[in-house]
Amino acid sequence: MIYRHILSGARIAISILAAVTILMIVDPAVAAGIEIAVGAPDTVSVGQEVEVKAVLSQNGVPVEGAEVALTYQASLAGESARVEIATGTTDETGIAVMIYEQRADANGEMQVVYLGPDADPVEPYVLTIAVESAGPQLYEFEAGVKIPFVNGTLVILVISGVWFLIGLSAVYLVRVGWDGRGTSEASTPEDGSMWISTLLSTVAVITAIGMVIVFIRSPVSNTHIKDPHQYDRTPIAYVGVGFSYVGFGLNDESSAQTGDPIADGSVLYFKYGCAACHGLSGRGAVVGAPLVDEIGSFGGFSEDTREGPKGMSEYDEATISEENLQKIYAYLKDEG
Amino acid sequence: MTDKSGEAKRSQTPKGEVPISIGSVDRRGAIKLLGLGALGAVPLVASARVMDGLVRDIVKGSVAENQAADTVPTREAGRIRQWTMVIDLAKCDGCQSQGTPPQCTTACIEGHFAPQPMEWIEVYEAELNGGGSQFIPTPCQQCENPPCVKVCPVGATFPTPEGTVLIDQDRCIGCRICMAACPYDRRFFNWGTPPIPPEAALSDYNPDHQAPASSGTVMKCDFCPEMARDGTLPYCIQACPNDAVWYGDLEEDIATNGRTVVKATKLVSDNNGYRLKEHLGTMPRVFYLPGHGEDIGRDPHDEGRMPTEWPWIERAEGAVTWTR
Amino acid sequence: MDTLNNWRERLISKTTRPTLITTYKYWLWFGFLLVITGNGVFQYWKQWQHGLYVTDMRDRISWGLYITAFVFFIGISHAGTLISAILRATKAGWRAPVTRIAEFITAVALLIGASFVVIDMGRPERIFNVYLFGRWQSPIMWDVMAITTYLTASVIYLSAPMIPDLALYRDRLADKVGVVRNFIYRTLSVNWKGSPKQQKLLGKAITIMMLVIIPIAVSVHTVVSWIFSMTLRAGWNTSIFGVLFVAGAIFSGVATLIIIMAILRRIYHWEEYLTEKHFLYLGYLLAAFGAFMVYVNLSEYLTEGFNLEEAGLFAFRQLFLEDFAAMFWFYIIGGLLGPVVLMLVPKTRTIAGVVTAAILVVVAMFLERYFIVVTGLRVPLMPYEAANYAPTFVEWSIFAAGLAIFCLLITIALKIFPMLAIWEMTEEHAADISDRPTEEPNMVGADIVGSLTSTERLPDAGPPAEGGGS
Repeated sequence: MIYRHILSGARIAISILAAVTILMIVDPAVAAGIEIAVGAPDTVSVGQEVEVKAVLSQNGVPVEGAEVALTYQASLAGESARVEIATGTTDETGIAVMIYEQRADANGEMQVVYLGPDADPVEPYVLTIAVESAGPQLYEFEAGVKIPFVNGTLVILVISGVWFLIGLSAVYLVRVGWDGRGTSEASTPEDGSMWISTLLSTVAVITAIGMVIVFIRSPVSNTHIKDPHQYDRTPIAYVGVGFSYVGFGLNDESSAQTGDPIADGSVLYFKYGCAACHGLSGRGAVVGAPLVDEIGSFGGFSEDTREGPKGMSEYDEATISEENLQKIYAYLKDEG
Repeated sequence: MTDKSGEAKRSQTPKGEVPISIGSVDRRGAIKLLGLGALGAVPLVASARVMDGLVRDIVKGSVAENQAADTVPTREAGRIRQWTMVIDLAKCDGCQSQGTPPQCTTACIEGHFAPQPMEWIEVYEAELNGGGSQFIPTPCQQCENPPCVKVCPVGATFPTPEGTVLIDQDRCIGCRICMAACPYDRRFFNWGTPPIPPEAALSDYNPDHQAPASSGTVMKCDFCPEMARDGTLPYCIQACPNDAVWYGDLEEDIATNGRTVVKATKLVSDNNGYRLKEHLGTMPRVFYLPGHGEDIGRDPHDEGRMPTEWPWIERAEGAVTWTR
Repeated sequence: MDTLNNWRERLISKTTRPTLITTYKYWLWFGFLLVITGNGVFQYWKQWQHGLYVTDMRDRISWGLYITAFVFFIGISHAGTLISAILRATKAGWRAPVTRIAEFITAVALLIGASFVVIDMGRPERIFNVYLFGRWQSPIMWDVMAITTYLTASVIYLSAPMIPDLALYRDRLADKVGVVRNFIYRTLSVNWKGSPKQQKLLGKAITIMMLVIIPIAVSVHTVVSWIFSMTLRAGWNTSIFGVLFVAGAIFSGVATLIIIMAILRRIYHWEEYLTEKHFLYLGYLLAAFGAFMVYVNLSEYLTEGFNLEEAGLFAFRQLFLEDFAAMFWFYIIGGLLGPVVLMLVPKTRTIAGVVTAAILVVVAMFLERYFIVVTGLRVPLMPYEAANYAPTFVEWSIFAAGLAIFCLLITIALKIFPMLAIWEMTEEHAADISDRPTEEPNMVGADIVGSLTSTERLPDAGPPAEGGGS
């Protein structure tokens, strides 16, 4: 279902190329156990459909009906693990063809893993496929149907037309006043009382212009993915690029410069988002462990903060300075 | 209305962003090159679009300035993550076995200081066709065709390039048409002074985390983008005791539940993933894997869950709470 | 022409009566309205302080009486301009005494309706974000644009045909009214001398506005309905909403017009001008629209009823059988079929009958707006118990203040503006008494306007007869 939205590039042509470059390595030295050999391209680009062939043999005899999987080292939001991106079954020549689409910016160390049917452990085959960086966006989506000429411009034309007529009418009223000017009689005390209709037509023109401006300023569509540089309200996350998690951030940095480490620490504890996981008073919450009574030495505290145990994000020195960390420590100690 | 003082100090610029290098071409230059290239290359028919853009840039002035600033990377910086969530209902028992309120909701409330009675990820109990019930944790569905964004008169709710939908509470006028438009009941309004802990008021406002909440504006689940960009997972996923919730990126096509990493699309298709109210064409970014907690041994006739709690409610001074 | 002159003088004295004579009853009424308005303002101040918490609207039923009032008042605003423009365009001669009142209702109701949107906002102080960050893709922006356009157009359409009458007031009442009103007459009558060129220009202005305002008015209530139907809710997301709302708007607008006409006729003894004929014609219009509304409702619910998904089923139950059944059936039987029956039965084909029908319609249309807003939101979207909504005292107070300000503005306008279109009525009367039907394409009847306002320089008739003797 998702693939429906994915723009496939010119991947088929390249995949044929990849299929040709198979390296057949059979090592007869290993008598027992299943041997895996792999043929794969050296370099691929993002979005390319890559064909990886694995050859399985046992004592030089091709293994038929074995299941293998291709994995790569992936990491997301602090979690890192091997992700199975393709599987295959060997045919009578012992060759399993695995096709995957290159989605990651870097594959790291890839492995061809033997899945079965034998229960005996098989050494995975390690291979490296380099990825040309900065490929095109693969997952794109678009809402709605675009009909040529049925768009905002048409609406602007209609509204402008209506306002032109309203303005025209107002102009006639101004001219009524203009025509009556000067031919003053006793009962018409003064001239120039057409200012009201002038005002009306001015308002009409200004409102009309205002509406057109609203139109022009409106974002083109529901999504900014095609035009991310138009977008400026929050940072954008890119594949393979990250930045340090700094929590909510306080609106006034200077409030953590009082000189009292405990008071500063209570502010910083909040600033770096500690409170969000470890509870507002440091006594623990659903996500984070309690800190106050179990804080221990500064060394351990510092190490945990820098390395982020159990899925906690890492706070390096660039994010929380040693000085600030000590203040937070002082605050938590004091709370305990 | 009541927290004007706090608002004055808020800034539109998000905190915590780190300049990201985009290679050898300096960004200002890149934009210029692109702009000129576009002008030179477009055929006559497309010139209207270019004009449109130029006029928009002139009118928006300041935005154009921002674009040139180094803090906002352009598309050329790389491929944009496309956040998604996969919720495995076969592993969700509404935290019955834990004897607690749903931990995803609780963690979300604590992490985001969500005012009572907002459950940005709410665990609904739905009836199964053959009797019994299933639990459905429901965050904002982050639609790709979001009905709420379409109706917002001021662009206060907006889609990000990452495919999520956020709310700018500094711009929200509180007309609530987005709440009428949302078919998933996932939008919440601050009817009065929101009940949040006093500390939350210190926070520097940002649509990424929506703290502190402000009266008269709409809030909802934001998919924790500031956490997900790096370092850590959304609160609900970190808190789920059964690893039922997966957070993923459709661009790289991976997903993680905090224990392991898998291929996102494979996870969805292998398990017959579906989306809520698919017939509406909203194209949610939240997928559900069918089930009623059977993977962790829940009997579908074992109904009911603990009510959600807001831990700081006594400390929220001068605030009022309400029911949904 | 002597009879015409006498007729016209009598008309002028009758029309200026509310401007010149202010009784204690007027001030009593005025004070009553002020009290209600004051209460509403006080309650709104409370709402400003505490937020929308003081209302009974909550996340699940997030719109209530305020949005109902918005739709209701915008609906009423279709009384005037649309009707008067259609009648003017079709040259229905009997329109003349009706138009001015109708146009005032339009302008006033629009102002009130638009302000209810602001009252409903969580952050009213950010109203200008609509202009700073507006997105034209949003139905709310369509409303902002349509209502702004309609208001501007209505004001022009109200003031343009009033110019000759205001010139008359300027000339006749100069020493009978105070500085403020003199200033208003002088200003708004834009140097009107009644010269042929001025008549021609005014004719052009009125003709343009008359033609432009019909599509604008239709678009206004259509986009009001689109606020609802552009959401994905059962009962709202239907294509018939535009038709239903426009028809309903004209329906309730005509009814409001009838009620206000009846009141003014009674108070200022305008029986000669607002005759039974006018009421009956408007009554027929009401009956026709009532029948049309029945048809639209039937079409809507029958179509929906054949596709009863879960939400639709809930919507049907609450509307036809449960919580909102009383409102709904009163609306169908009393509000839609009632006027039809009242106009069909010869015995009730009287002014009283028409006014009864009109009151039924206004009440029913208010209820219709209320249950459309509330039932649409009440249908559960996810597995949860349906919420309930009952407007609080604050909401009722502010709604009442809306009604009061509506009456107040018309009451004030009575003191300033000619509520009967003197020159148009004179023109019509002239056409009536002469055997020759008017062939002139000019809808303004320029010669008569000119002859009656300044060229003749009628002697001041002195203070209009106190009490009018009738």
